[in-house]
Amino acid sequence: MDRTEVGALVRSAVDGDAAAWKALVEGMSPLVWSVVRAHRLSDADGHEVYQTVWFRFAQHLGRIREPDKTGAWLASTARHECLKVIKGMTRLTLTDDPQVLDRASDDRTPEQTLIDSEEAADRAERVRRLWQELDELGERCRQLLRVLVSSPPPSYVEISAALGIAVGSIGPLRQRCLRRLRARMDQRGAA
Amino acid sequence: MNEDDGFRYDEADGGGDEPAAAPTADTLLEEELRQAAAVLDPVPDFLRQLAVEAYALRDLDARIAELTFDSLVDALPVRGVTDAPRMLTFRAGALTVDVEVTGDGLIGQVLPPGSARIEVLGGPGAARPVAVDTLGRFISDDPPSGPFALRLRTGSEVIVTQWLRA
Repeated sequence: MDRTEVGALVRSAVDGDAAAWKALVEGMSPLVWSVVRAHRLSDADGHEVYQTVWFRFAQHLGRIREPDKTGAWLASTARHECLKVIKGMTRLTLTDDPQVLDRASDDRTPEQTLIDSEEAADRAERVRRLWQELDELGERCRQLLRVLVSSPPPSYVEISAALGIAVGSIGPLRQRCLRRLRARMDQRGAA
Repeated sequence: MNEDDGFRYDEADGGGDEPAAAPTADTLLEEELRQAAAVLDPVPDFLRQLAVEAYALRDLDARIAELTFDSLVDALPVRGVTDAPRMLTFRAGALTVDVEVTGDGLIGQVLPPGSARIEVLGGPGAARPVAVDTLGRFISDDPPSGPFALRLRTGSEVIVTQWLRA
């Protein structure tokens, strides 16, 4: 979704256009989801945060002061709800089960099965390795890249809202993290 | 979590001065990652569908009672108490709703005291009425799971509390 459309879609949705709302969900869901995933919540917690964000957005529709900045609003709301989940876990020490927090990222999805056809096998293998390397890249890089690569590409303002980092530090951080990931891939390719 | 763990490579590498070709390689790698995210970690379909259905939750006539206190964030932890109930306060103008969420359900109080009709919302199309006395005290023995909100009708006014994860 072109981010310039977002404000217009929000205004249409306020006026009762359900198709505009659906377009917002389609266009902005990957960003919200990436924030949830960047914070490594369990599936159950992550699903609840995602729902809370969209329920609250629907509730506040028409009261959003700057419709053009809806992406940042969604990202920021998602971040705060993720931090609450993490805070609640720390306080109650309900789940310090590393298997819950560090769930394997290579669960097989139908899409993955699809790309596992023979001619695509090499390509699929590289995608899997890339994803695995991302998972082991260190928290700040992993978080930044997970949000950065949601579709369509988020703005730096949205990334800033999603992760609580300054807009000005995103560019340099992105460059470092991608370089680091590439080095790890090269290393693995050589081994 | 080690805040520095992403950067050792750069420090060893000297960092900073990449030749002009680097942005292209960065962009390509980023695009590869974007495809990987779409394939290996997509938004679950049922969640996306719930978000589409959430359009029904827009309530342009209701006033929103915003969360002004959440014990999860605003209260100091009490030593030795690991299962303290979640205390929430919502406010809309002069009206306050205090809610305590436990494993057994909800207990709450509308202030200033007065009768109201109250429902617990659990998502699009999910609303359960709760018992309220004439002083605005209410109780539900059904603990909310996941996101919830309270819808209050007092006289001519409708007030909905900000959606929150229990």
